[in-house]
Amino acid sequence: MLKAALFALLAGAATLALPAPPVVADEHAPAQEEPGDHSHHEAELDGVHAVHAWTRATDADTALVFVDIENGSDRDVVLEGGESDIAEKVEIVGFVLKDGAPAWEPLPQMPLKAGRELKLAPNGLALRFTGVKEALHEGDEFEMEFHFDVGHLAMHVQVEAANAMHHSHAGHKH
Amino acid sequence: MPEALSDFWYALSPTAQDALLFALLLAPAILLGLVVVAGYRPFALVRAMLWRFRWTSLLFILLIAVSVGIGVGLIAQERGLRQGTARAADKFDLIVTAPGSEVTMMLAAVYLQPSDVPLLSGRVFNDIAGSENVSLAAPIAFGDSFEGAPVIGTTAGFVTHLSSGALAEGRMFAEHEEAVAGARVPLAIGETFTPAHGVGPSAEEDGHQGHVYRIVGRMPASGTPWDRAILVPVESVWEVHGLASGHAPGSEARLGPPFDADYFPGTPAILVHADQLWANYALRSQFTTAETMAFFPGAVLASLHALLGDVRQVMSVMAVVTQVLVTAGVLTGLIILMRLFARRLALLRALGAPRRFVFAVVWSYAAFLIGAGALLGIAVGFAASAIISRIVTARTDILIRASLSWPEFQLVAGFVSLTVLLALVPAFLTLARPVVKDLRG
Repeated sequence: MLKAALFALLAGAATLALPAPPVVADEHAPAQEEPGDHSHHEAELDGVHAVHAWTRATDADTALVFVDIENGSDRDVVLEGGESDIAEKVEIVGFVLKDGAPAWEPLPQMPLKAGRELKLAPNGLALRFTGVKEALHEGDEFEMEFHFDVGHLAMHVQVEAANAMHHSHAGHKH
Repeated sequence: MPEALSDFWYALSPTAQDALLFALLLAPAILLGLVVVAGYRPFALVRAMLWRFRWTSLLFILLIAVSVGIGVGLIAQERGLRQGTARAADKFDLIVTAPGSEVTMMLAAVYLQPSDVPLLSGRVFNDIAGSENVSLAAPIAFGDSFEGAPVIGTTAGFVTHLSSGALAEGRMFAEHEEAVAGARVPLAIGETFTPAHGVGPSAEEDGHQGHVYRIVGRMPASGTPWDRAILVPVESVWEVHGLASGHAPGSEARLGPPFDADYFPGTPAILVHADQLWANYALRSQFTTAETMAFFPGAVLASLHALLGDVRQVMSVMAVVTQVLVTAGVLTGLIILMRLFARRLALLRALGAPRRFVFAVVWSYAAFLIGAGALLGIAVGFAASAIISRIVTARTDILIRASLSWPEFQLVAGFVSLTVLLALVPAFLTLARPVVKDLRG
């Protein structure tokens, strides 16, 4: 708490002295979303359906991206990682509790059997962005590609609140 | 945050970040001290004042120490609980149970707080045990006990996994009537016991009359509730309940997998272990179905810890407020105390001592009380945490270790900086006193 408070103070002081960074959404946001249009919250590639990609607002160097993936195809697929213009590196990580502290270990790949679902969620699997180039603000969106062995799946990632535990549309059927 | 500052901060190791934060929090106190005493040496006089009013000073130091100790102890205890509960779950990579509450299932399977839960069938067990990448699948069948110690039915593979490969004493069970005891079970190798049906005060002591186990081995201490458990072959647990042995007729004497699904009475939980983390995640996805729930105890714990962290944050704020209030009280006391010093300080002024020297003496005196109280508070907090840890360990069998880490030192550094700043008030008030009037007493 103290760490966060002091760091916020530091950041505030430094922000006064330096120009504010550009907002990610300015560069990457799609056209204004029409009411009821949730199409850019989902994407599909050869029967592999991904929905509700999201991350948390942060000004840190790393960010975790979560998503629900359903393998509706009749073959097993493998999630191999991803890429995005906003980060230098994107890798799959798995949550572990090390000595009582949360930690994320890189995973080489994540197989997903035909007909199964894979949830990338807090305290579980995630795609870790490192070398994040801009601060991520709640309400922003950016684009990324999920890399599967069957191809690349492009979709929008919604930036939720810094303490969010799920996508703001979680539970909706798209 | 500006990129250069952000890059610098994230390039630091966590220890360097903590050390820097500590230094930044303590810096205002040090800088203030340097400015206040610059050019003067007030310490001899401060020492004399401390000695002259030693009991009052000691009381003030103790008051500050207790208030700082509450904050330090709170943070240290929360971390100790978090680490202790996480250590206890270390061996439990993935648990598969019937669908229900993950917390309830985790408490039952990992922390041995049994509850009535549905059983998983032999078909489910064999599906899991036969899956690709599964290096260990073991039933965890709880429900019986002996004098408060849970009796758990499982396999030799699980005992080996829990013992990190080697028993501390004796050997593995090889017969239906043999058992391996946890490190703190009060039964020696060679001793026998009859399990009670159930756990706790309502356990039926004579529920399994005629069934006798003999201890043949002992697991090393793990600092977990499993130190108080007695592990027996799962086949024998089924048998003492009058059920099939898990193996087809003619093979009843067999112990361990593979089990025959048709003669598998059921198990409340299955421990699944894969050598690779990604495989554990793949297995969780595979066994999250309509009839099974797969979860990582570590992830469930992390959610509980987050809740614990929120409570700690609220309590930390209350602890800081308490500290500041106590210090405000102490400083108010100091203002009154300065009236006792007034004649001596006025004499100093009359002898030609500069106002700033007198100011430095009063502030240094207050700063010493705060600094000494804060240091003593760290010791008080650690001692309180050590005592509470012992009590919690004795009651839960989860080894809780008290330790001091950066957050406690950062809290104390912040407290010291804030309160020595407040200590400027009595120093200014002292200067405002009329010298001549004070000289006359």
